[in-house]
Amino acid sequence: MRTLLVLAGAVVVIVLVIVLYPGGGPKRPDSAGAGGPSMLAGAPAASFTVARVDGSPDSLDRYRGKVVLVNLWATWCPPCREEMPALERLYRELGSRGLVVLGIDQGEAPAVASTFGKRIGITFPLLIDQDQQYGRAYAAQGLPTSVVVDRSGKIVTGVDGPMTPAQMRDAVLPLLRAK
Amino acid sequence: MSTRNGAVATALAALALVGAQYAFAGNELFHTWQYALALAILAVSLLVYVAGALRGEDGRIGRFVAVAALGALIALAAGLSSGLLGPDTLSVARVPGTVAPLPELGAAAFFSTVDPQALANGNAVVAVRRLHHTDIVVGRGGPKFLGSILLFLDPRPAAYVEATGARGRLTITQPSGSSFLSPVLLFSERQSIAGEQHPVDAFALPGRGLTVKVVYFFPSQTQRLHARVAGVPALLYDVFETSTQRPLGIGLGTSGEPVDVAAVRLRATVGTYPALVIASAPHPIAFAMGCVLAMLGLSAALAFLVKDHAGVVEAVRHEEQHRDREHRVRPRHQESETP
Repeated sequence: MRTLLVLAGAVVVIVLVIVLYPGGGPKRPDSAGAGGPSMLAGAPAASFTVARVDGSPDSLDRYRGKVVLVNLWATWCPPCREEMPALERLYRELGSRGLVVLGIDQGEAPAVASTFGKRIGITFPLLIDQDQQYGRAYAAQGLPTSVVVDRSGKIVTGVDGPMTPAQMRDAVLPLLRAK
Repeated sequence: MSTRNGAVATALAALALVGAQYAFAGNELFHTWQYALALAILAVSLLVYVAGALRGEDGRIGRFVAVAALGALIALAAGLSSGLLGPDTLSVARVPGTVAPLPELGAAAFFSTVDPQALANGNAVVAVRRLHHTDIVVGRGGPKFLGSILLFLDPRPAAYVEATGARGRLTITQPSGSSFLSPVLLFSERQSIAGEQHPVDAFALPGRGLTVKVVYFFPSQTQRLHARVAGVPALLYDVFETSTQRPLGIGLGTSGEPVDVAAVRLRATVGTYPALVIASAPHPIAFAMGCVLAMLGLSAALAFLVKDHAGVVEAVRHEEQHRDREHRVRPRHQESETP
């Protein structure tokens, strides 16, 4: 009997330690903010297989080992259209050093994106994300949204809104120098 | 009712009251002072009994019952701690394919992507991810524990919308939704129509300068509408110009049915998509240990009682046999002494 009571007492003490230990359990969750693309810095870049404007499959994962500037856009978005020539110039200038620009159209028909791309002379890959998966995964709060991914596939920076040419260069040049 | 029986009943009531936090997880009742007071009263009653029993006031059986009461006290401590110190219930609703940071849990919730079919089947899951820990996938196999936090899913009405214009598919945005670029509507708002509450949501078709307000009709609410949609969930589309708010038309459709309004073809697959519910619960290890201790104590008390009863029966039988024997011997003895 005495042994049983001692055992019971020991159980009570152990359990109280487990329950009341300050680091023993999670604390009060306050809120779950939505954040934006900038909060993704350091996270692995999500990749989904979607179609290029010509119908062939493509995804961000295919460009592992290169520095990738992912640009989420749509033809109806004026700032996206204005940003496109600067992205094309950056791609032509730094493509040989390992930069890839991926223009991922959000939800439009391939013909619409293709026509626009041809009209302004886009040579970097244009992808069609009909289910808008990249937009959600990169926490886009508007268009355009750009995400810079390093050679290891990690997000370095996320930008909500159009980038200036200087911002683009500042974001990718240090990554291109790092081998 | 004897003190001992009262203590047993109190211990069982305590286990039931604390166990209810699992059965009705997320209920706000468990965070009220009334619930805490009820648990405290039970705890004090049990403590009084345990103190007396340890002094030997209820004999040897009383000590076994005291062990059971200690088990119930452990469960009560866990129940009080989660009720008073645990977080209030929190529902986190996000569109598929997005991540909700849960900084205070040191975790992030990954809401699974769904295609229209998966949304119709309602089999989406939410993975709760913590650094250096295995993912907790909520949705398969019921609620999951994260310490003394209970995670479970609350399926809610949802619709996967596709919009097509003359030149093909159109971008869908939700400027006021939890995700800007999502074709999935979660109907987080409610609107009263003809005295009934309807889930409502809205999306934009920026390529066409249109906004579409969508009203969800439950099967019970479509009975009074067109016979075509009676008894099945349906969506009412109210299309208007975004810049001027000029109405352009309305349409009604069931799941998967195309509806043409304002030169746009709208098609929605209706189903459910879950919100992640984070609720406090008694620490499972503490509650389990309390239950085990309570059952051990009660079993030991019962066994002792049965054994004791058998001993008493045996003693009575022995006494009766002894008396019987005496009774049979005495008359002969008395006869011999009779002159």
